[in-house]
Amino acid sequence: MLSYRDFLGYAESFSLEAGREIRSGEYAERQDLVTASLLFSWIAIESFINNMMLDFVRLPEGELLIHERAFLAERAIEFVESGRQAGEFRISNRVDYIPLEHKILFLIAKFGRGTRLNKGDRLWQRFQMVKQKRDQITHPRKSDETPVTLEDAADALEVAKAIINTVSERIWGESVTF
Amino acid sequence: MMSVLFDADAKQSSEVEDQVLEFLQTVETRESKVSSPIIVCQDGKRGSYYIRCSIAASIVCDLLDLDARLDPNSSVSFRANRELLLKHNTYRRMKQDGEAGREFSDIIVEYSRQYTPEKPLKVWGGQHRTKAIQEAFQSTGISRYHGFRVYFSLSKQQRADLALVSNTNIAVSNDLFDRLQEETLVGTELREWCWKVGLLEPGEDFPDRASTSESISVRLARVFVVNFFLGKEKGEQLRAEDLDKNVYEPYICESGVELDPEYERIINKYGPPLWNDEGMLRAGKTFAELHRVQRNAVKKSDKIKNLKGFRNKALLPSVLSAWSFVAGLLQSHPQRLENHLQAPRTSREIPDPLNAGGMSTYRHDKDPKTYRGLGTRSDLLERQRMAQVFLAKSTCPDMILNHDLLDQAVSQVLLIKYLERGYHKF
Repeated sequence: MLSYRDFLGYAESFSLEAGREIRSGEYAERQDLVTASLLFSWIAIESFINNMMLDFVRLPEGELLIHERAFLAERAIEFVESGRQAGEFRISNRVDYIPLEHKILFLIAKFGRGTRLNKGDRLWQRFQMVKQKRDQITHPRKSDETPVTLEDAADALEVAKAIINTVSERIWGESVTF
Repeated sequence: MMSVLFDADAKQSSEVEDQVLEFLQTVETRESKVSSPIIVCQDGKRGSYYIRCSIAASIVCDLLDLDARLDPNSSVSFRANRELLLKHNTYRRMKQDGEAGREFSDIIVEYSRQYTPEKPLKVWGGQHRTKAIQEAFQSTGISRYHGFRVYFSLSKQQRADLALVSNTNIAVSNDLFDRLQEETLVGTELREWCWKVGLLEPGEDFPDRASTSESISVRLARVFVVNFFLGKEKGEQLRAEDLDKNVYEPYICESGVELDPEYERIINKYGPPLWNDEGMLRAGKTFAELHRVQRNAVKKSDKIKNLKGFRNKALLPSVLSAWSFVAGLLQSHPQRLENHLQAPRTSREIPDPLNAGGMSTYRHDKDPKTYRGLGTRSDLLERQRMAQVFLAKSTCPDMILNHDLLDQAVSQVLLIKYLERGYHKF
């Protein structure tokens, strides 16, 4: 099973290869490689955060409110109209995708030993810029087509590592090794 | 008549003197040949009596017994020395030297006619040199004088001490050390229990070097016993609904000069009935069967590499200690116990009950890059995780140790510890 380390590794390889080829003068740009690199950096954060969500959703009954558990499981809450649970809310099987930044905000606010994420932080702003790039790649529109640069890929990789470490330190109390 | 003198540091003993005289009448030494006096010495630490003498190969070869026993009176006492390494280069060199006329010295033997009386010199130290002397004499007929230290009237404790001290030169393995210590300080019950449950074949002894064996070692057998009772003691204090709310700490016994304190505590607390404890007997039999099935599954399946670590997954300290701890823990929780004792289900993808391949590649995001897979190491965290794996498996019958279950167990350990630390703010 691939982990965030594997995805960061892919991101790094693509970025390095793009850098080598551009510097050698063989290519002026390598959109394919830098785009892949940026996406893998994003996937690395997703992998780390999703797995952490999966850990916490396993907290014993009673430790979480129903909407918190539904949030962690990325499932919708439904109102039960009939049967033994009539009149109550329950977690349905319907997937309810949560944006990555919401997951990070929630994990730190809920499990981060009383700390909060400051949205004014430089790291968070850089994260938002990576997110914007990533959104442009995955939801392409001719109106906002801007190329991904080698610097974008390098920045995304750095941001991914920093975000993973920040979340790990705030929640588990220790940084991770890459 | 030979003159036998006691050294100034040796306490006079007529029993020992009689034994020495009997020895000198039976075995011709260089000292008796030239009528030089024999000095009886006494070890300052253990009080064992011995003499130093030289004996010709032509005389001594037939008198040497390499199957020395710790307890000469017990028929269940096994050969105490480690296996001879006759293909080892060091031994080959010894043999060549012997054939070239080398005289060996300080071979440690005990004079005893209590068993195998035709070979009264029981070898405790220098068994490779002894074998080299025998083989060299057989092949060349060359008979040189070799130096011996001959011990007399040894107690069991003195004998075990002698065996250990004599073997330090060749780096006695911890497993041999444990084996000697078990028989001397505890007895033969552990081995007999292993026979009874099938962890050892009838008549088989614990290996003297577990790393090259696929049988359970003394240390691991002790780990099994200790954890069963530690788990049992813990389980008696817990309500069923609280079983999954704890992180458990299976124990690993240490090899060493002293008997492991937890093992000593358990055998003293429960006494001889411990070896007939029905719950532990059933657990032992089930575990032996799990080990057998695991081994066969890995050997036969083409889905998993036939690696020793995979075949012997059940005998890894973290796995064995956790399995036994959970078996003890669930003694007071019968339904969960039944689920635990049922072998994990297998499938086309997971052909072995312990999913050794899946465990070896498992890694939680929090684990360091150098993590070697679930159950591979024996540190406390691994033991805690493995206990949670078996506990999670015991929640339902017919469970399979797939990735989801392993991950759930690891999350559980992480979260319980997280909650205990009180980092959260609910």
